[in-house]
Order: sequence, then structure tokens, then C-alpha cells
Amino acid sequence: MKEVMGLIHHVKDEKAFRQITKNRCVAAIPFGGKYRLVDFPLSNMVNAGISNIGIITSFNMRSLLEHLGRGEDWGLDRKKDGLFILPTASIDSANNKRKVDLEDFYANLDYLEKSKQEYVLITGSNIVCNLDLRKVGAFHKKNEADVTIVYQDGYQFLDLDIKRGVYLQKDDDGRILAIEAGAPSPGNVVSMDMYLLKKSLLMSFIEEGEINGKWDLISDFLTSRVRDLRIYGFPYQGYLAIVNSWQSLFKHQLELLDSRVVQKLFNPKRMIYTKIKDGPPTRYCGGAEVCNVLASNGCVIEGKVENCIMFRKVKIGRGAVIRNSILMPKVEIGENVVLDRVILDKGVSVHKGTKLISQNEDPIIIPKNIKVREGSV
Amino acid sequence: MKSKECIAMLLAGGQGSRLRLLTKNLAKPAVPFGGKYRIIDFSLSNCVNSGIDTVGVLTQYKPQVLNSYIGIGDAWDFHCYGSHGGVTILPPYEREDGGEFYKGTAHAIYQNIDFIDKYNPEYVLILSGDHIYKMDYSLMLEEHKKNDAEVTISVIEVPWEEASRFGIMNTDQEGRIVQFEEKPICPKSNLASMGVYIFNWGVLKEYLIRDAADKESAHDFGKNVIPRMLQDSLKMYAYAFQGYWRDVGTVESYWEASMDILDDQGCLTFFDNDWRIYSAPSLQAPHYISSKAEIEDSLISDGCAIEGKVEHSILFPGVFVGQESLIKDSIIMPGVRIGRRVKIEKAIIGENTVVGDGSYIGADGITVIEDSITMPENAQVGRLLRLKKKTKEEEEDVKELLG
Repeated sequence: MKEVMGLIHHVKDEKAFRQITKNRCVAAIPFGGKYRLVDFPLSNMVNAGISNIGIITSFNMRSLLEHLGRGEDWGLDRKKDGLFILPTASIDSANNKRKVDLEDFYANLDYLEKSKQEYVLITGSNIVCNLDLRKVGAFHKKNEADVTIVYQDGYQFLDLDIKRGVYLQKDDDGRILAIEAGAPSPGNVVSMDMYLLKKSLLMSFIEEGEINGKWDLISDFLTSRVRDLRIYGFPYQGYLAIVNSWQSLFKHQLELLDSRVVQKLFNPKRMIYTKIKDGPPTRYCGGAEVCNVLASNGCVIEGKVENCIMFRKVKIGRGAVIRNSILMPKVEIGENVVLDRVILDKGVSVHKGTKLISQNEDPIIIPKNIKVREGSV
Repeated sequence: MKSKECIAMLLAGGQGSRLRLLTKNLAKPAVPFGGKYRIIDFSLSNCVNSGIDTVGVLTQYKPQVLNSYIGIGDAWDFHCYGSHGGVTILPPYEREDGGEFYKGTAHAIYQNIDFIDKYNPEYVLILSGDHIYKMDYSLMLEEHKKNDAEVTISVIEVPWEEASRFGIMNTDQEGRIVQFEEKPICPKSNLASMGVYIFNWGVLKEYLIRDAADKESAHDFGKNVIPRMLQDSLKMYAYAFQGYWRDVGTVESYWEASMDILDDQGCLTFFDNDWRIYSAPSLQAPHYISSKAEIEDSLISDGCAIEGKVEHSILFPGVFVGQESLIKDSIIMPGVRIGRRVKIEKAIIGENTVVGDGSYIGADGITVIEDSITMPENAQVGRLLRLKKKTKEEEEDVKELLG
């Protein structure tokens, strides 16, 4: 897809992730044992041969920049095209309700202008899937579409996330008849926040936005023009996680404990790339008991772990019992600790003997680098 | 161009025929080790950690895997030195007056005198790419300088009863080497040469040129160059290395060194941030342990999916273990697929091999299964492949047995 450039827009609603986004933007949230959310859209694009990719960042971008580097882990550190960091225009992102904010693109107009590709693929940074984008390109051309939106039929949000979705109505040929943010359509046809269109069309939207100050690609442009533009929906049937709150972050990561999901999402034909960290294999010691666990390299496990996601360099002490939890990189669990339904952010250490059990469905979040002792939470 | 104080030359051209099936398709230094590494990672990481930024890697036997693995050396940060240093792969090459393969370790260095001269180093460190150890070469160099030595040879104390298997250095009280004996029947000392040498480059170059002209010589450091230097009474010192060091030149020693990693006493650990062993990492997803699996005392790498029982074993990236299978005391190379109800004991399974359901692999000795083969269901392997008292026909046996 040499004629397509990629734009990863920035998910504004960082508050929905509580303390998890205190030190990082949504794109940089750790996911799936060794990845960050942005790895999925980036890898999908790279796997389809897209080699010019711009990423809109929030002001909370240090962690994301560290992760992306020069894009070498995605093969994007190149002389021609490559990876471009595009700072947001939106200082007050907390009160910015735009779904896809064209003002961010406007702020980086020179990058768009100098890019040579005829088409633009826009996607959100929080869409976890493994999708062959070449098929979307072929679909777009076959239908002579102006805009193609990738969707999934019957995708189930958590109740609290329903209002955050964008829903479509389509006819039998896949032509989109209506686009509505926040209100489910019959049949629950959910937009995957991926849009393929000609760059010239996008530029005309931006020009209009500059005149009338309307900047949301969805509500200000596509919704009102479904009759004038040929907007088509491309159906995606593989594994999908739209991660738009801390609750859905928890739910979707634990879904990876189903081996069928792992096989679909980490399809060896279309690998998911991430920043390479060089650690030893994970060491399971004599007393370890592990059951239904997805674990990265460099962990040392001496206790009991059940239904957990472990990122790299996690240490679990003797006699500890950890269930239904997400342990981000460098988490250290002392001896005889008991945890159930806890998200432990990077670098958290839990003192021996501590017991943390969530009393309801929602997990407890322990923020980055906190040292937890009995009674301190 | 400014000169380097010390550069390293890493001998990586050997076949390692005693590793048998493990080196069928690649050079010994490229043999996978420890769940994600290759043997050469230890020497290369030691160089980086010791502050040596220029390494020539001499290749000859089946170098393709090694070449692509080393690449520009970015896994060890060697790519940071641009054209002045870093890692350079040095295969034999042709000259105006014809070309030759490397005839011996000394001849390999001799052929690359121009490469070394380009950096105009004061000292040259000679390494072999087939040892498992963590060593700070800068300490050895310091001692070399302190002794005002012309040659320093790193030695390690080995058990007396094993001394006759090694090249033994006999030294005086100051540590000066007085005699070198290759595999002595009655050893006078238990200081074994580790195959790690520091030479003053001017001195070594002179001896290499002389050795190359000697028609009788086997062009080997241990057999020819070192004895000649001793004869000429050069200032040669032994540097006593303390720590873990293993030559993994045989299947038995390879298996034992691998099992040492699983030893909780930590004689060889990868979880040491002060002396990291670097490698080119796999890009696979995290590994998955199913609810039916049991893992004990093992190392598991990325991309594995385990549904059976794994005990005291090392699994490289991308290994699948089916339900009701048992892997014990074994080393499973990358991409191996093990079916259901399989039992594997004390075996090394080669890369990308498929073990059919219901198979049994194991015997008294260590069983080695070659890479990239598909074994039928219910195969029984072991008795014929026993490597304890080995026979020449084993490789034929495998093929026969597996069809």
C-alpha cells in the first residue's frame, strides 16, 4: 500500500483510564504482556506496506516517545518517509469531545502537504486487532468509495463504554446510511475508528474547518454527508478490543488468556511489533504453580499465579497467590502476598504478606512505582 | 584515524563436530543456548561489557546463520561505532595471488593482519566463540600491562582428575608461564587454558608471519604459536580467572552447562543487570501457560504455548507442548511442536522439529533429535541414539528410524 499514508489520531479522553494515564497517553498504555496500545495500529499499517505514518500525541507524551524512538522496531527509521510525531493542537484535551480531531491534523498541515501518498488511513490509537489493511484498500477501490469505515458487527462494549462508541447503519451493499456517536444502531454495528479516504478529500475537510471552526471528522463532516459522499463499511470479523476505559482495559487483557484469541491476535503471518527489550527467558522455580497465564520474558516466578497477564521482569515471591490480575513491567510481589483482580502498574512492589482483593467486578488499580504495604491501600 | 588500545578477534569458524547434529546446519558459535541466546552471545557481550568496541569475527564453517544473526551488531550496541570499530565479519577471501581457507586459528588471524593494522592496536585479544562464561577482559588487560607481559593467557582451575582433558599451563610463583602441555597424561598443574589470549600486537604479528611461512606448522595457537613463543622465552603470564566457565564443545558438556542455568545456586545466571548477556531478541508474543499445564524449575521463552507438563527443562521461543505430554531434563530448540501424550526425557530437540502424538524420546544418555524433521506418531526414539557411548552410525540411525 505504497499509495497510502497512515495517521494515528489521539484518544482525548485520558480521564477514562484514571491513574493509568497519569504518566502516559492512551497510545502508550501497556497491553497484552509486552505491547502498548499503539503497537496494534502501527503494526497493522506496517504489515500492509504503509511506510509513512504520523502519530498525533497528547502533551503527556514522554512515555510514548520513549517507546517509539525513531521507529526502528517497526522498520520505520528510513530515509524516505518513516515515522513522524505530530503534536496535538489541543491544549485542553480533557474538554475536547471530538472523535477524530481535524484541528490536530491542521496543526501539522505541512507534514500532510509534503507527504506524497494519494490516500490517508486514519485510525485511533486504542484499537486492538490484527487486520489485513490491504483488503480494506481493495474494498475501497472496488466500491469506488469516497470513505471506507472499518466496522464490526455486534461488538459488545461494557455498559459504561456504550456512550463512547460510534455506530453505523448500512444497507445490504455495505453503503453507510447513518453514522451516530454515542447511540447504538440496530444490530450494534460498531465503527472501529478506521477511515480510508483520499488525502485531497481530507484536505478539503481541513480547509472547511479552518473557515468555520468545525473540526470533528465524524459529527461535523461524515454524519451530515452520508448521502453526498460514497461511504462504505468494511466488515472485520477477527478479534477486536476497543480500549476506552480502565475497566475495558482490564477486561480485554484478560480475554487474551483464551488461546484462540492469542492465536488470532498474534497471527505469525502479520506480527505485532513492539519496542524490543532484551531480557532472559522467564524462570519458573521449584515451588511455582501457574495456570492460564500469559507471560513475557525476564520474570521470576516462585508463587502461584492464575488467570494473569505478566509483563516483563515481574517477580513473584514464594507462597504468593495472584489471581485475575495484570502485572505490568518490573512489578515485585513479596512472599505470601494474596491478590485478586488488581492492576499493578509499572514498578509497583507489594510487601510480603499483603492482601489485596477487589470486592466487586472492577479491579483495584495500584499506580506506577507505588510501594504497597498491608493497610496502605 | 585514531588507534584503538585493544581490539578483539573472535574465532567462530569451527564446525564443532563433537556437537554432532546440533551443528549440522550452523557453526558452533551460532548454536542456541539458554532459552534465547546463541553461544557467541557470551563472548560478544563480554566484549561490550569490558569496553572493547571493535571485534572481528572470523567465520568459515556454515556461516549463514551466524552472519545474519550478528548483522551490524545492534543487539550488542556495536552499530554505535560507525566505521571506526563495531563488529566486522571476516570470512576467508581471495587475493591477487589466490585465496585460501583458514587452515588453523593462527592462520585465520594471519589472513586478517590488514584488518587489525587498520586499527593500529597496542593489544589484540583472541577469543573463541564456543565458551559459556562472563568475564571482564579489561581486568585481564590491566594485569597484562602491570606485568609488562608480551602474552597473557587466561586460565581457570579445573578439577585435577579432569586436567588431562585440557591445555595445561605450568607457571612459576609470579604467574609466569614456564611450560604449556596440551592434554598431558600426568598434569603438573590444574590451570587450564580458556582459549582467551592477549598479545602485544607487534609481537603477535611477527610470530604469525613466521608461522605462516613454516610449512610444517598446523597454524594453530595452542599447537604451534604458543609453544614457539615459550621456546623463545617471551614474557608470558597466566591470568587466573575466577568464576563460571564451560567449554560446550560436546553434547554432554552442552547439556550440562544448560542444566547449570536451572541450578538455583546461580553459578550461571541471566538475571544479573551488572553483566548482561545480550542477544538478538525474538519478536514473538508473550508465552502462554494453559490451565492444564504444569511448569516446574524451567526457563520458558516468548511465543511458547504450554498445555502439558514441563519439568527442569529449557524451552526456546515458539515451542508448543500438547496436553498430557511431559518434558523433563530437556532442551527444546526454537519452533519445536510437541504433540499430545509425548514423553521426552534428557533430550535435545532440534529447531522446528515436529514430535508426533504419543511419542517417547529418551534413554540413559542424552538423546539428540535433529532439526526440521517431522516425526511420526508413537515414535520410540532413544535406545539407538544413545550418545553416552557413541557410535559413528547414529546419524544414519535417526534417518532410518524416522523414515
